[in-house]
Amino acid sequence: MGRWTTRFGLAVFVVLALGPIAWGVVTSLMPTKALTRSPPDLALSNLTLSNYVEVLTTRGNLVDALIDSAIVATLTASMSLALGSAAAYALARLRVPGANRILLAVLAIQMFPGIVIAIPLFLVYSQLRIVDTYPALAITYLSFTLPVVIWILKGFFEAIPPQLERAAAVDGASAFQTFRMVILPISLPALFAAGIFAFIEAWNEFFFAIILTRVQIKTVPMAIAEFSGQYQTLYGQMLAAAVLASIPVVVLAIVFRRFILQGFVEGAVKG
Amino acid sequence: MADVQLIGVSKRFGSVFACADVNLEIADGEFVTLLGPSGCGKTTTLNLLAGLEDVSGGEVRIGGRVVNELGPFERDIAMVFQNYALYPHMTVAENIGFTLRLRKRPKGEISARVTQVAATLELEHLLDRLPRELSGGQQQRVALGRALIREPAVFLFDEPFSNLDAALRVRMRTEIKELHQRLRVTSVFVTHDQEEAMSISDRIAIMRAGRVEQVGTPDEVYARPDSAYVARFIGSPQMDLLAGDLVTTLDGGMGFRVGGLTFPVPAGTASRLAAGDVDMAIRPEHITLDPAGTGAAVRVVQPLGPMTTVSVAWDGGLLTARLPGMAHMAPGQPVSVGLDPDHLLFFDRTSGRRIHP
Repeated sequence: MGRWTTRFGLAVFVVLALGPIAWGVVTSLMPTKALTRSPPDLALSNLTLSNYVEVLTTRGNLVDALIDSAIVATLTASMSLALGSAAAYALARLRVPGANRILLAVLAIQMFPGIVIAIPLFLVYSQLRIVDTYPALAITYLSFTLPVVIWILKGFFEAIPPQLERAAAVDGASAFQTFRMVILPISLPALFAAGIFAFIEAWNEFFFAIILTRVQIKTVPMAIAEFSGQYQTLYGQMLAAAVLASIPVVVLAIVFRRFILQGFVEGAVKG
Repeated sequence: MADVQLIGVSKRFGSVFACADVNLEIADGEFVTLLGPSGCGKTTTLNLLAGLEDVSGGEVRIGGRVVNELGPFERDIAMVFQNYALYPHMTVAENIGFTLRLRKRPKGEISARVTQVAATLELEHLLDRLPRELSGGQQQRVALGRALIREPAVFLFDEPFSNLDAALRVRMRTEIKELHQRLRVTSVFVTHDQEEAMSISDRIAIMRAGRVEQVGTPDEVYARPDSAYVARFIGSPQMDLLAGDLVTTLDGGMGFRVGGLTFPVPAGTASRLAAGDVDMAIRPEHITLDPAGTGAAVRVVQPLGPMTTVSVAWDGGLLTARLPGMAHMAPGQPVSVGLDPDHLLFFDRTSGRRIHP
């Protein structure tokens, strides 16, 4: 009885999670004519790759958008890791006055609604003349990736036995050498997990991207949004672009799945 | 090689003293053990000596030099930790050679020294393995190797055997003792296992609540404990304390009456006991049980091979004796209890200090 309830629950969950993705993939393989008919004509004979060809060739800006997104996401992930790992280590291990309050503040900042800071940020970036640049987006994204990265890594660092650092101190390592040569190498799973989290967040971000860029930079979510025009929406092409945009993230997640799981679990369960 | 001095050393965490006014002198080449139950301040003392904690007061000297302000590395010590603390991402060779790599020694020199240390510890065939691929004993030897390669002035051991099984623990004891006899490097060893302390130390410092209760050779602390605490902490089975009164026996001599039994006390000793309440104790091997006699009854018999521990009880008293070989006694069997008068120990009941005869 209990087993069947569990199975039913899982089935509902799988349908809810994968249904929209399956629907999106099917849509991306259908010609616009078939999709706009009521009801949509989903006959297998209609299957076509024309939407993919279209978005990758004639509307060449999707490729540019993929490149822009990759740059912004990589920049965000690497800055999150560089700053987040140092901050998390200090909060986990060094005697930082008010460490608990700092951690709560870090979390509170993450809860700020984006709209509150979007306009002020735009004004500041205008003064600094960095609107429509990669750093402008990456720095903004740090405001929501860094808190999570700090919390993930702090949990992981706390689970490392302090004797390792003591042994390194006795061996003659400075605090920074200990961090670089002992702590970071054994924290790779957590670093992967945190880094991929930051990458995905930056990759998918739409709201700040549309406010803080003009013509130089266009990330993938913005490019996808452009398929929805004033007079018509090219559903097939839009979803073909969305499927293409999700490939890098899915590949990253599959390749580093083992690391990600290990990183999250060890960060969560101390000792 | 260096001598070590702790002079009035104390460590406070908030309002709690982890150790208070610790005074200890360790001669060059000596092997000294800090012994005590958990929470007695022995590991804190070792950390203060290593420079892993800052002292709140007092002075730490290594080789005559005050090292209070120096980090662990500048103190020229090497330390073996309780859980080995091997770097999990480095091979055995990299673990052992890490300190030399930090000192930017040439690669050739590092590998030569690592090979040499590995040979001493019989680790040559494991140099390319990761710590997780080693047994507990092998990991412990790698931790030793990491300390050895430093050629330090002082070795510090923080309960290095507590994660090993009993048989391996005894073997590692022999190895450490052999190593010390060969290298003669000043060593400070922390343990809560009195048998371990007795078996490897030149001298033992027994700690209690952050203070050193007694320092002495294994022989001294066993035969002449300064306090009831030391007397009971050292030795297995544990020594029983008997509460009783000093009385004059029928033949005019002095005796110590414990419940229904009275044990003769040498006149010289008795004269020192006149004032105040005292407890009496005796090592289990100085107790004789005579099956032909009466007065007490056997309660529990535990044969251990080379010896048998036998607990006996009588009206108002309980003792555990250690008899040689397999003693054939049965629970409930009546016996008479004899105590060797030359080995009786007396303690002031209030202060716990031993009353010296």
